[in-house]
Amino acid sequence: MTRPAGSSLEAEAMVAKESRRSDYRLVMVVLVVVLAGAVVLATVVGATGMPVGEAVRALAGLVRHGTGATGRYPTWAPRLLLDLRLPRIVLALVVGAALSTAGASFQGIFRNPLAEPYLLGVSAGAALGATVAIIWRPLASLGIYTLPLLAFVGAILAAFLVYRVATIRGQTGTAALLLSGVAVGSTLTAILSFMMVATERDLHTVVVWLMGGLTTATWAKIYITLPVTVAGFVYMMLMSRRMNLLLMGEERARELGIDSRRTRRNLMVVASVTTAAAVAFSGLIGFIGLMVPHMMRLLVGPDYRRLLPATALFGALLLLAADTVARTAMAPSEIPVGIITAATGGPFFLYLLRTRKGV
Amino acid sequence: MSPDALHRPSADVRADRAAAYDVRGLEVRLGGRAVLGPLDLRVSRGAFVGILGPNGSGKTTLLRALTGGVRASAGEILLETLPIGGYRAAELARLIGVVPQQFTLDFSFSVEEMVAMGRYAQGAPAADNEAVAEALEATGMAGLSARMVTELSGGERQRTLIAQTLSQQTPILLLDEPLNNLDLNHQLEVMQLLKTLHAAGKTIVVVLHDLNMAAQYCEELVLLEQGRVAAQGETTAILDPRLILEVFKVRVAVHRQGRRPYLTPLWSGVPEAVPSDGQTHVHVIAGGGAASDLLEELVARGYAPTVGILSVFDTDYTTAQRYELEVISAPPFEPFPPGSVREFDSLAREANVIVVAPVFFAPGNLSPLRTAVEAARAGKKVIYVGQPPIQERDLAGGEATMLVGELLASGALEVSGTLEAVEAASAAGASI
Repeated sequence: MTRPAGSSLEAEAMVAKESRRSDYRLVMVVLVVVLAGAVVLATVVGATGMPVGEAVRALAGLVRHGTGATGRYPTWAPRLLLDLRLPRIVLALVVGAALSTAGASFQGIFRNPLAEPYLLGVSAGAALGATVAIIWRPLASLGIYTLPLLAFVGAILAAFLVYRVATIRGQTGTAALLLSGVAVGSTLTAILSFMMVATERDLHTVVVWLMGGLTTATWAKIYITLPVTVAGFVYMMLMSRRMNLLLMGEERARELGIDSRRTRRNLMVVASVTTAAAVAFSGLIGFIGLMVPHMMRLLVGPDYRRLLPATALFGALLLLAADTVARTAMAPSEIPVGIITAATGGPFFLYLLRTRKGV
Repeated sequence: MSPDALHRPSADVRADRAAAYDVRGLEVRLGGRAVLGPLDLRVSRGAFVGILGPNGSGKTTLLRALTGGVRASAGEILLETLPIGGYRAAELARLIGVVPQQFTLDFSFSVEEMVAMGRYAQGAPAADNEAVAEALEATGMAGLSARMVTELSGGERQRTLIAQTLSQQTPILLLDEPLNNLDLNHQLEVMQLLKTLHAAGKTIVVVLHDLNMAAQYCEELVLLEQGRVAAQGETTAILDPRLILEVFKVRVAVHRQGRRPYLTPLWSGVPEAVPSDGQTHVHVIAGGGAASDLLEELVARGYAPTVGILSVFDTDYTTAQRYELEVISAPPFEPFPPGSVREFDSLAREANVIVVAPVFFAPGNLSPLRTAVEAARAGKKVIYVGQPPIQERDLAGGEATMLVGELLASGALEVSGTLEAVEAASAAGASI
């Protein structure tokens, strides 16, 4: 089966097709540079009324001399940056990376570019777990770990419930999966709402938490979320070639040499735990896991070995940007960041639904 | 076992005839319904086996069972003497390459990236690039390697899938209707490729729809019918009109020119015609191509008429040969010799029905007509096709016209065309 090399017309078409996919290293360098710039920018802008110039000097002092340094900025400036802005920035980065890499993984597990923690009901499961942790006082004995632990449990249970409901005779269809995600998500949200109505005591805490926000970021929370996210990312990277195979379907992946069922199940647990680690301290932030992998696929292609790193960086960048807008746009009051991501992600989802071919 | 040990030249393989697959008492149930088996199947190393059968006969299920994708409800599948269930997925992917029937990929990988995925379990990164390049070349996809799979035509996707499987470089290849979506030229290219791979010592099991593709390329065939093996053996032995009729409910003519048989389906002029039970012996007096339609229609309805006397250069002779009918032949360009005439007379006596086709009669070929007149007088059923009229076909100076007159006077039935003649013959056969 040999045929002469393509005509010059064909060759031109090939070049055009290839150039649509940008150079991977260039994309990564640009992402890292922009991300670094965004971190600095996010550190120096805020609602305190501290001029940007002073904030920059304070940040420089922090970097050079640590908290003890003083300079031409208010004495409380280093503490403000260190205890309020920086944890919030870092949490935004970690949560953004966690949600988008989890989204990319769910898309591979379910062979569906529209899968996403929020749409799959996994976030709702985590939220329900977290709400139980907030409301049911006896559980608080575990301290700061109560909430993330229950969020993990909720997320994993929700993911498997959605998967079971959507799997009919061994096949998991797109429509079935999304419907099942919406149905399970709504049910869980209903239970959550009922719990909120039934106990008025912690209503405010729950509501604020649910709207999705990084307002209450602390280093302690980062110490929990960051390791889980990093571990999840490492596992996903180790599984990246397998995820590529899974995109061709469970049966084909098995024919090419992987234990598809086990791989899918393990990835589902890891993606759910990663989601829960994010949701536990940031509430419901939707659509990041949908938008980010999609955009990165256009830039670096669908190969998970490239997609996951690019997705992690861009997810971090996007959520940081959204959160910075959330806390500065209407300063001194804040817009919950979940509103911003949903407002941009909803239309994006509709656009994807309409033009899904070749996502 | 190392792949190299299996990857031997074909001569070797034929010598030891070790089994790549040994299937014993296999049964598969899906959703409580028995879809396959019980069946036994042996595939030798280096074999080129085609699996044929009507839709729903279990071809795909059998192939999936051979891939390890469907579990046996009973019986066992031995792959290289070990139960297939005992292999790990990666081990299977080093032994068996599978080209599935259906396949979708909604993500825009390039052709080359997709083909390279076939290397996942091979564990030989150093050989990856070469294996991918070879597979692309062999399937004619090298020029399209940078194209997105989402932008390929159906045929190109199919070839990409085959390339992905080839890049695994496995000693065994299982293909489920690999010619789907392909143009004739690409169908032939794929089959030619399989032939080359077979010559290189690979074991090939391929599900095919096209009996002639199977006839041309496969060394052995397995005919499946309702989940069971209806027949299994060398291609020439399996492509038998009776077996094909039994399994596919289609009458075919098998042309054996050269080593490879060739099949053509036979269409009866009356689709709903009830096939004969094959008991009625019809003899056709033919010549000059006048009986070819008649013979085909009789064969299509299940008769195996005898024919003659015919010169070996006669068109009707060729037709009769094609359907493997018994013919009384005579040398060309001379009157029928007495030996042929005697042979014909005895055959005509045995026949239940004699049909006289609208032949051009000359002094040299009048003897069968005389015999027909005698047979009619003796009370045998004789059917005479009277169009075009005998006067236009009488090259014997009026003698043929006279004989036809006697024939009709003796009780022969005159009909105007082929279909009436066949109807009359089957009516006569039924009344015996």
